[in-house]
Amino acid sequence: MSMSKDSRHAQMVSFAGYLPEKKVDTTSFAAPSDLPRSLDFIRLTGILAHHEVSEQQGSFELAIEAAKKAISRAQLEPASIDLVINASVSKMNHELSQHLSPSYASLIADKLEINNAQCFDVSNACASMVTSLMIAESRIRSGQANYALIVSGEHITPIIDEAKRRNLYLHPRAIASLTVGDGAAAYILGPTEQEGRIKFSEPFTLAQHNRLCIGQACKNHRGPQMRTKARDLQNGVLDNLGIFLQRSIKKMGIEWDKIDHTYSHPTTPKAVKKGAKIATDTLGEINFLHNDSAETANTASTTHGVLLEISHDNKYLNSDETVFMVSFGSGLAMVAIHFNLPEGVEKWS
Amino acid sequence: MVVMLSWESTKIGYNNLFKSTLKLAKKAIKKAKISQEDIGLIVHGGVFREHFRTEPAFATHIHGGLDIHCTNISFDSQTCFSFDVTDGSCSPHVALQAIADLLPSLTNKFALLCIGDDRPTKHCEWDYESYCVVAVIGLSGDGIKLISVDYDNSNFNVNFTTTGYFDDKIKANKFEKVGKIEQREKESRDNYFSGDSEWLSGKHMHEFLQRIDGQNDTLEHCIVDRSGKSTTAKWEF
Repeated sequence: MSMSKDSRHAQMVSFAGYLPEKKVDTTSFAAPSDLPRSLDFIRLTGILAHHEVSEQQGSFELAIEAAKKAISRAQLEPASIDLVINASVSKMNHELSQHLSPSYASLIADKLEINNAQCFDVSNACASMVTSLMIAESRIRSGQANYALIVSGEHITPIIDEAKRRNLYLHPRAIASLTVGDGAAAYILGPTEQEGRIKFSEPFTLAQHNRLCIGQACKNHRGPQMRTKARDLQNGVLDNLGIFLQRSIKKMGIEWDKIDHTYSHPTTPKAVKKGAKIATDTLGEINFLHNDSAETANTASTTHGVLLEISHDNKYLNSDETVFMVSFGSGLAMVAIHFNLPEGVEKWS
Repeated sequence: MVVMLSWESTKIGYNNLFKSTLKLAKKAIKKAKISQEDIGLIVHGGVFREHFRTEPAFATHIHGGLDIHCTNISFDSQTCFSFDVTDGSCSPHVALQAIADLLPSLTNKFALLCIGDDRPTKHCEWDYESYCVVAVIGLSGDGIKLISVDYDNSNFNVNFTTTGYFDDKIKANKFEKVGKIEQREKESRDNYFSGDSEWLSGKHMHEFLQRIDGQNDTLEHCIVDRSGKSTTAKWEF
């Protein structure tokens, strides 16, 4: 596609979410009898279930499933993709080993026979995906890339097992580990002459909150662990959300009441409701808030893609409608993206 | 693309990356004659983190340590954004590209490039020389100009990987490198420098920075990762 630099912009060509088949009910591991002070975890979070990988699956296999679906929907030959960014935080295989080098994106591209793309990983906790989308959009707009695959597979449910091994009375910061699920997402961005099909907010990192959620290898068992000051982290988001949204809407030049679909980062469905109240009080009614993570839980960097896939399955999405996604990541990152849905989205299988 | 306005680098011990980065960042910012408040983007590039940490990004710790715009958002507050990138030893070039991608659209037009690795645990064999490198990057100004970054995957071997794992025998986390690469020695001539493929990111950037004094034309800096893939940054003086 030949375009002058001024008329070259980026657009969402396709997306895909993928959930592994195995579904685990929250009651099977977080019943009131399992938790301190007989905590009613389901009532507190709204999470009824999550999905987990099968025995031979890890972050890589999840990512490949989502990427294949996104490439197929984009009707692209893999060889035409010249940028691959992996946004997975976990990079964990089925034996719970953590991939370090070279980039996971390089391995994913190799598996998909994307042979001539620049590949690298972006790490920004749950905001890794939107951070990667920002980079990809810039590359396409500047003509350095034509088609970008941004992909993530998150195999993070081993942190549930780690938390269950702990005495949660003594380790209350492990309780937030029970809110996660495995999943994958992929997006394809490509060039367009039409301006404004993807817009980003100002990206914020409120680094005063950078110690509220720490993920790392467990020191005395195989696999990862996460420790979270959940209430402090949630307050960090909620205290800033109203002004963040107002600044984002202004910077993007969009009208709140014209947004067709809104997605937040679903730490828990209950937390999303709290955020939605702030958004409504600040900017007015939300046209369509997609808060469908009750049976997927928090799948880290892949959450928005997983929720988009659920919306697609429910036939809620139509060509050219607008989507507003707010992303939060420990650190504490806050960034939002607004985009038009790809042409033909309603016809995707 | 962007201009490197100032830089600092130093050899570090096993796990001094955080403190060293903070110290060098303050020096580099002062040298660039800007204020910490002018920084709008912090990007860290590296492979190994203490205890194989996955989140938050190391750059957010630098951000917090420097206390840049660490306040709640208001209608006129300034922003700084932090994240990490990685692609083996090629991470410094990827980080520079990410800065070049995002900096023009940010309000504060200076970025911090932070490069380096920590030995993840004391159980990890560590035969690397660890360097910490920090640079202030701007869109224009006096400094060395990054013209382009090219990549080459033609020698990439997907089987040459590095993985963190739990050693059941000693009950501790280590990492293992798979694949024996053909050693690629460093290569230095007038307008070209390439380091050893077993070097870490910090060492690659440190050695490159040692060669820029006296340059008055262009210098190509090639990093070949142990997986065989490479990136080449072209700098203009």
